[in-house]
Amino acid sequence: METTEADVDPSGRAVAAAAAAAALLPTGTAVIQFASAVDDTPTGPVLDVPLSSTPAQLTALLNELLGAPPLGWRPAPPRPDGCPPAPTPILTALCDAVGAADASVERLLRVAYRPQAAFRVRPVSRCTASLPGHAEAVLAVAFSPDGQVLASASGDTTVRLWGVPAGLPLATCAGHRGWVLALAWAGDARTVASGGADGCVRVWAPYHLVADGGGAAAAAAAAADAPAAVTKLVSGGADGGVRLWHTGTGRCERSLPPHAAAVTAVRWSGEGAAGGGGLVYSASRDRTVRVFDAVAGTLVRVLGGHGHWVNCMALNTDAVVRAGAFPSRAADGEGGGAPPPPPPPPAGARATGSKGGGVLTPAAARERYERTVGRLGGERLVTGSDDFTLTLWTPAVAKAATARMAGHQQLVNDVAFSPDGAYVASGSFDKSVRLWDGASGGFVGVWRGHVGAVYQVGWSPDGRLVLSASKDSTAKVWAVRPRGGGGGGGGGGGGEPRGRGRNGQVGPLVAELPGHADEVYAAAWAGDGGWVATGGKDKVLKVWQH
Amino acid sequence: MPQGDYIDLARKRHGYRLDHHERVRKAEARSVRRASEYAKKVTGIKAKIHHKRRYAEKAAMKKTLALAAEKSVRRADASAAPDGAVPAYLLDREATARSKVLSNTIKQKRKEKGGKWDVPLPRVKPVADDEVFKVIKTGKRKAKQWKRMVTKATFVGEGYTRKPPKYERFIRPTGMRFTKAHVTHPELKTTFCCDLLGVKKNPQSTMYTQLGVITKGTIVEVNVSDLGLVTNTGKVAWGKLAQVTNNPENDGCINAVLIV
Repeated sequence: METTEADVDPSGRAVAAAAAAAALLPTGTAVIQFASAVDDTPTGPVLDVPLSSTPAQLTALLNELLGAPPLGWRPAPPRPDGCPPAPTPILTALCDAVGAADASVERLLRVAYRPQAAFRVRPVSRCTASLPGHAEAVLAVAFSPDGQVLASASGDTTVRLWGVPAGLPLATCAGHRGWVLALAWAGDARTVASGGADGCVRVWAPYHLVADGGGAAAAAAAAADAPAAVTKLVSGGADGGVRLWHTGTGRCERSLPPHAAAVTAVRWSGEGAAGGGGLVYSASRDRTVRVFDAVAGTLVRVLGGHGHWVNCMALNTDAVVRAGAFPSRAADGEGGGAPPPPPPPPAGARATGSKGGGVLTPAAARERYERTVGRLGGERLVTGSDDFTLTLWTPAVAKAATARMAGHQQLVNDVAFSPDGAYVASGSFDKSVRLWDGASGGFVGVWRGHVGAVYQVGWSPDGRLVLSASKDSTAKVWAVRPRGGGGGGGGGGGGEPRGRGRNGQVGPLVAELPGHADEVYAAAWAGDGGWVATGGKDKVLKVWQH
Repeated sequence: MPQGDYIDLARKRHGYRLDHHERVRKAEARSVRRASEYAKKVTGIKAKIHHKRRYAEKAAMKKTLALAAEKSVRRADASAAPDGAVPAYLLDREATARSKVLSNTIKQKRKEKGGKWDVPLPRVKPVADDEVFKVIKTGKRKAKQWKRMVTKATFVGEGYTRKPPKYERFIRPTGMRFTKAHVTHPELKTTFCCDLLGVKKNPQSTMYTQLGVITKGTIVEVNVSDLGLVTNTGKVAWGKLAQVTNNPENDGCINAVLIV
């Protein structure tokens, strides 16, 4: 596995910079204790290591200590006992991150570490297909959980389905009488649900209408699926209503207590009642996020705290829920997470590539979901709002916010958790994309480069790249990890890569995806990382590949 | 008792004549013939009055028929989705002033190469040289008369330095120099006051282009960075071309239309 080197920048420049930095600083040792970044449990004994240790050497040490198959690790700068771990990894050498004052043999430093994805997604760079067909702007795109079908919803009232390997049109699903605003795939990839501005939720089995849930009133703004369930659907409308549907019959099973204003996002959580699908979260323009018990139909708690519309919502389990009942490298524990290496997955849950292979049974999918939640250290929710802030919650447990993330200068339009739950990326109308720590909510860095409002953000399945779609007619791909060289504000040389220093510790712009003639409204990264699909006001759906 | 009332009374008492309805129908059927005969026969003022009335009747009839016909025409479904679809996250947001990418850069370049312009004013009235240039007949060498003053609006670049007056053949008066233009965006239907960047082409003559003479129909380059237009590659569009639509030398300002 090439992942031992996963965190080490292969460029010679970085190595040279590291060597230079190491040559400058005094030789000596530090007393460190490795600790998991997620649950802060100490790993191995207290160690006396040279200050010139590089991340690669620390990684090798960790692999030795853990006795696990070699993985890439991301050791964070050491902190004295009791301090929370820093979100940014060590870049060059331990001495860089420690600083002269802390480097004492009498002080125990904790080095938090978190794993890297065991696979690598190559950044998309070129447009491989422009798929015309829609007669109006493309408003939403979504890949099916098995990665075989791409669905696009448009203002021309249709949902179109495209085959992924060839980019051929599979079906045109006409039936809505208004713009189609939202899309959600079922976990088994057999059906896709769409919410329209005509107030209807329609469920399509790729080639025909299965169920028609009328009377959702006004715009049905969102839809989602319960983990490991294929017939449950939750929809939120512009009238504030949140409804649960049975997609097989098209019957509205429950109408949950409504919001006072339009619902902007809904999610189905695996927490709560046993058997899955216990809780439903809905974010609304009435400034609250509500937690419902889907079984009893009651309001469990109201998460208040935002000062304006709540625009978007993301769960750290989104990646595994999106994977549905299909093997996915991001969801199967190869995408990083907390240290204890997962137990060998049961038969049938093995990743066999994107071309299907074994489909998980509901029980196996459920088991995988629970394992993921355990690895992530519990379910977390992040919301973005018109009050320019993001808020981190643990909605299944507490009403109070975990952290408030301020920094954007305009409203936050989209937010996404990285597949390993380590980071949160947020896109805002202030033309920037910001990166935050997924556990503590600490600010990591900011990417500037768009010249228009950022509409959508997304993650590559390996959690190393961020995709952003903007009003300025481009999508851009950003690297999460900074290039090696100068760490912790020590360097300050003229050759600093873009996006460093004042902008925090984030990587550079990896690829710019120009080609759309107008605003890009929707973007999605396929579950296997090979495809990126974008659609926008110019009515064309574009596919990008490496 | 008036005569008509007797008829009514009789009808009340005895009912209609047995052939009444038939006669009415026949009279009605013959009325067109009778009207036609009358129309052919009538002359003079009577004819005028008659034809005016008939004309009004026919017009009313046509309208009625059109109304009736409209009912059977299939109309566009009123419940159809409106144009200008926006995603859910932009619903109910204030529509900010925006405009799509105005031109494909490649297309524009191709046009530039061919020297052909798809412009709002395709034809301009030729302006003669003696209208543009006024011969200067002053000074020591007045007999030679080789100095000219430009009598039209001009654009002079920022870093321009005059030649020594002795050698200056063309004088561009400062009073007729312009740095700004009122540029109308044809799709947004709004006008912005933009900085002039240069004179791209004066259709009258290449010499006017070089001199920066701005007449009606001249293509000028303007700074549109404030408009927030974006190119295909996602960069802010900076310079765009516009065509002058007025006679600046007469109006004291430059009005132009952005070339999309």
